[in-house]
Amino acid sequence: MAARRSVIWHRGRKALPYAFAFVAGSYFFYLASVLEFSAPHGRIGPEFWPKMILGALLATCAYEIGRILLFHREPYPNDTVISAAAERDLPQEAVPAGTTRRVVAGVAAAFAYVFLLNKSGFLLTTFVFLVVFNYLGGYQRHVVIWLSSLIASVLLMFVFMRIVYISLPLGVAPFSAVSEAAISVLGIR
Amino acid sequence: METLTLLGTGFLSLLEPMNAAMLALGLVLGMLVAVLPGLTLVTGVVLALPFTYSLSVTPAIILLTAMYVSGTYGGAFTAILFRIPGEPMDVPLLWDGFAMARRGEAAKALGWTLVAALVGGLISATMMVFLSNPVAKFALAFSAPEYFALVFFGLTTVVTLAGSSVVNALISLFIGLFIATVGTDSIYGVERFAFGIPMLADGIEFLIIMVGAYGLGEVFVRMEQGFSSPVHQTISSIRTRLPRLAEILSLKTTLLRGTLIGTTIGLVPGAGATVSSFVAYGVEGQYGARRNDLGKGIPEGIVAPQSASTASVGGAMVPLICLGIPGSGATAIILGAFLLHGLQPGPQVFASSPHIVYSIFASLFASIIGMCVIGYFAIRPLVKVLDLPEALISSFVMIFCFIGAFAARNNLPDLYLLVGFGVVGYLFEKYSFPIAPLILGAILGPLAESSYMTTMISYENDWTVLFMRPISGLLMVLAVVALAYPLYRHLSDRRRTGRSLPA
Repeated sequence: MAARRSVIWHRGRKALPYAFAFVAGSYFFYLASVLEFSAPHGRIGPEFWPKMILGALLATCAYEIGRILLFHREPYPNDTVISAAAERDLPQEAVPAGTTRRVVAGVAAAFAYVFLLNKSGFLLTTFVFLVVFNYLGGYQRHVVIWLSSLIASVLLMFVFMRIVYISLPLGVAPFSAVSEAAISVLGIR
Repeated sequence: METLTLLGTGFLSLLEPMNAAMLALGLVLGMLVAVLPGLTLVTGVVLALPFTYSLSVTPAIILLTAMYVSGTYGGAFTAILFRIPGEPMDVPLLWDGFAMARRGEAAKALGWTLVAALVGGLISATMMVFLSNPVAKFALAFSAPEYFALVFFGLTTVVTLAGSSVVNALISLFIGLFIATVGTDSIYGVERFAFGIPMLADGIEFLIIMVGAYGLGEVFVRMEQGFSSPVHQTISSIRTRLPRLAEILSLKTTLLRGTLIGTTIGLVPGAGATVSSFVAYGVEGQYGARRNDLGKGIPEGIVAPQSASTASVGGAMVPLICLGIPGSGATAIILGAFLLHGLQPGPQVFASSPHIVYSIFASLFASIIGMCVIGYFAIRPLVKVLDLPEALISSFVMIFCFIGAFAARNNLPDLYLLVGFGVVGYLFEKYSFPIAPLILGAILGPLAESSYMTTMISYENDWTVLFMRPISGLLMVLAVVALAYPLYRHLSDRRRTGRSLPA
């Protein structure tokens, strides 16, 4: 019984990404169906192409879910010579425990960076992000982290604003004062 | 004759300071990216894209092309010296290149790599120059059905050569094609899937998808692996020793065969340097004069894959410039650079901007020679970058991704999408969905939709016209065969082995 439950759980997990894509695809298919537009008589409308793509997506996902759940088939193997040979010779790296949490923290740091960019400006936000990300990545050399983050933030601001002419966010007061001071020191107009 | 004149003008344009500077910069950056195991060649080209915004189109494309070319060569150093392939295309070099290095013949192995890259690249670039005009003239006869069939063929070969399951590649492709429909429809001007959000009403910029999925996605994957760079030994003497002319001539068949394989495979959309490298090695193992010794540390095991991978660049540039269809992941990025500068590659570009096209061709020749020169003299400092901690490099990669995405539309909300696609890229990698079909679907989706819709409107919804016209019919049949063949192979394998999960 436990073995059977384990097999069902195993198959369910394998089918999960396809089920997710199927559900999302179904929702968007419905949205395409209710698009408010009437094409001229005899012509296909703006909903046709997305419905065709989504229909193909749904069919493919349903096929794969069926293969895994109902017909007990392994997902297609990596049977190209490239992937088989590459798997043999590329360095195999086992995923250490707890590092998925690190990824979640990294994603959260990335979202926080975007959220704070307009508020504290490019220079400060980038500096803080580089410091935080290096620690999240497991790098431990504090002097290197802080110094390289500071130098990189200033250098990137100079290169992108002065040379490549990309207008980076300066932030709002009081943080904008730091950006403006840096701009005047770096000679950016 | 006109081709040679235009090519000569192209070479002269390389003397312009900006073009020359971008060529040199591209060569160095491409090699650096290829040496670092945590960065792929495609990611490197993606990260360089924002630097091209303030450049005009010619130096921008020269920079990216130089990175692409040198990236096919740079990864060989670490593969041969430390058994660390810089790129997937360098894996075959482990088998004979590292074996030679272990025998104390590292300098000779590096010399063979240089010769193979030089010869393969130059021959392929020459073929590219003389093939391009005829292909472009042929493509002038294309109308909407032919364009749709061509894009369809390109997308199906991406799927079948994606290296993972065809089903996963198809799902990735469909998701990419669907993402391209978000925003305002080009035929009727109707807003689709925007949910009233202005950011989505403008559509999702393909650059956001590319940079997010390739750039951020790769960083998140490496983060999960703990940024554990492979440990490498310090080698006291790192240098390149070129083989003698007599030795090179003795391997001329291997050189030419690898070059031809690489150029031909490079022409096929979706197949790039990695496929070329492995196929050339495999063919050498089947037909080479010393096939029984392959894998034991013979020069043929280096020459075949390296000549093919560098030759694939010239092949991949033909469909890109003549048809506007990228031949590989890196050429998809280069296509993006063309579009960002308001230039649509295709047969028209030969008529409207021949000087730009031939400057790019000339830069390919110069890149191949330049990369060999730099590789010969600068191998020691290039290999030194392996000492940089991967966490540090990855944090800078993240910032480059943010700046690149922000600069596309100067739109902060785009960065939320960027992180979102970074998560998508990470999940795709985790669940073995290839990213290349997603990207190509997003880039080519608008062209596929507009050519399909135009065909249906022009021919009153008669989809059979795609099979009735000779060129589109041939391409559609080839596409169907390309899709059906892996399925046929899988079914016949299953019949032989009778594999299934235990009940």
